[in-house]
Amino acid sequence: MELAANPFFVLELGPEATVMEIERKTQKLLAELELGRASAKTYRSPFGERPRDAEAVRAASRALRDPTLREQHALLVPPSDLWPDDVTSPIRAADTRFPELRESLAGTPLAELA
Amino acid sequence: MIPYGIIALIAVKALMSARSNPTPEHPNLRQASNDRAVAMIMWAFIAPMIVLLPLLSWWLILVSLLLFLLLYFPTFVATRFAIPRGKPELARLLGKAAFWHWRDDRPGGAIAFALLALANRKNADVEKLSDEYAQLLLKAKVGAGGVLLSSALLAHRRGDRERARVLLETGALLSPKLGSTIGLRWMREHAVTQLVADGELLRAARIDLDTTPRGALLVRIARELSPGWDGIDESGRPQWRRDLPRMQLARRMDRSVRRRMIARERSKLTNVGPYARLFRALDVRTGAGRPRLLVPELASATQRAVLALALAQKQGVADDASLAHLGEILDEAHDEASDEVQRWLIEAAREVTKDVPRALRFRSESFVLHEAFDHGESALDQLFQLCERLANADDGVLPLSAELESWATLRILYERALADSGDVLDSLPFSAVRDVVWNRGATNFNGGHRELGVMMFAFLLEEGLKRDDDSVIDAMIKNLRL
Repeated sequence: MELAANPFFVLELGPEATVMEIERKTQKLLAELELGRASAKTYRSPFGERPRDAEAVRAASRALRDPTLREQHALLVPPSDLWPDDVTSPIRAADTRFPELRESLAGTPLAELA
Repeated sequence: MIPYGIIALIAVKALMSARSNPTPEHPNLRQASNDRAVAMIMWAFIAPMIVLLPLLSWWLILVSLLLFLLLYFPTFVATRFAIPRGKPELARLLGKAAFWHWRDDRPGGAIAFALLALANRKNADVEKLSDEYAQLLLKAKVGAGGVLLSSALLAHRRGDRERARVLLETGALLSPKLGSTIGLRWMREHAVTQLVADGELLRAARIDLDTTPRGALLVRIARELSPGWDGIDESGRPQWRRDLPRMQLARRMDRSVRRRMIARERSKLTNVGPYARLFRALDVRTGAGRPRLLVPELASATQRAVLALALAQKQGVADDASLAHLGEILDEAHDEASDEVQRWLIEAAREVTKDVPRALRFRSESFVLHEAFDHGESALDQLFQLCERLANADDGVLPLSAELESWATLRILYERALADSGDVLDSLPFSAVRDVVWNRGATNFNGGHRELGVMMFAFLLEEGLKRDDDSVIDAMIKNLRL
């Protein structure tokens, strides 16, 4: 999802970040990824935790150096204190798939078709 | 003193009446009444002899009991003994002997029993027997449910699980107008379980409640979890004005007792494990404090849209108010966003709302959500294509099992198109199938596949009633001689 891959989320910076801060964060993340630090392999977004690799960091850095793209992405960063927390509820009101129900067919006359 | 004369008279009367007066309850009544007459004669003449056998010698008690079970309770013996112990030929004979209960469904039903027994057989002759039963099935000329069940079991044996499911779901949707159908309750239980497992709640809600207790529990939960299900006949849509009072009463009864029935069946379950998440979803959805999507105001419409999508993904969107709220926020952001951001918003909306119940989708007025939702175009397109092919096909009839396979494809594609649109009263899928089913129904009925013809007419009547299609209703009532 493009919205979750917003460069500001990938670099974990706010829309007000300076060019220097972007450069510094990029180098820091690349070094940490090179070292295999677990904390660098994921980033927090409004859509939950997402995986991060060196290519995503470089792409984010490139995008934020382009003033037009930077402005576009900045408009898509809601205040981080409003983001939903990462703890996903075990059941959501909208959950509609229940594959484990197939187990309930064991022992029924057509169990072999389950 | 057993009144043999009277019983024989009733049997002869039943035979003669069948020959002169076919009725809609059983289209091929001649055959059915013969079966019932045979069963009646068996009860009248053979039962007393079996009862008297033990008087001759004590060991004849066992023989008498065995004969009694085999002749009078063949289905019971087949399901409790022949099928679990892998005795396909015995199961088939017992299926054929079920004169009283299964009537015309016996040819297909007997093969279904044999195939079920085959699944429990370890011998090397399984494949050979399976081929023999497939050949026998091609020769079946009457019935519907038994042939569908046998075809599903054969499809499963050759590894085509998807086809087996299509056939079973078609069997589960059989009209009660066809009378007793072998394995109907099993097929319904199986189909509703598979549909709920896959999140096809609207399709599961359309299955009849006359199934096993566990199957009925799942149908009721599917109806409870399908937004708007209960308002279908009260929503200002066609009022089903010519609907049978019996059907209206059944719907009202279902609505009024549903939650109590769910609670009762739930308390009876011995293994709650597989149902745990479903029950929690039900509690969340129907509980007093159910979650509603509420997105705080922000200066930027696009930032608010991202937040709304994030919250929607987290909480889920399961009610009209939440979906409308999300739609308004997305539309506002869409109006002031660049082309690329618009595309991102629609893509994110598609992903976030993939679990939104289909019954809610068609009610959304949001432009962005309309773009994001698949309104069943793919299933509907396939349905139109299939109907076009069938309309151009020859007028002749194929063997019953082949015609039933063809009907199953059409029927389930119709269910998919209807469920994808989210509106069980959507008229587009019905307009696609209406004429083709009418023609094929008549062709099948006149070509000897009477149960299949009746099945198609009953489908047209039921769906026509929901859409106030007068010409279909009048013709089908005449066809079914209601």
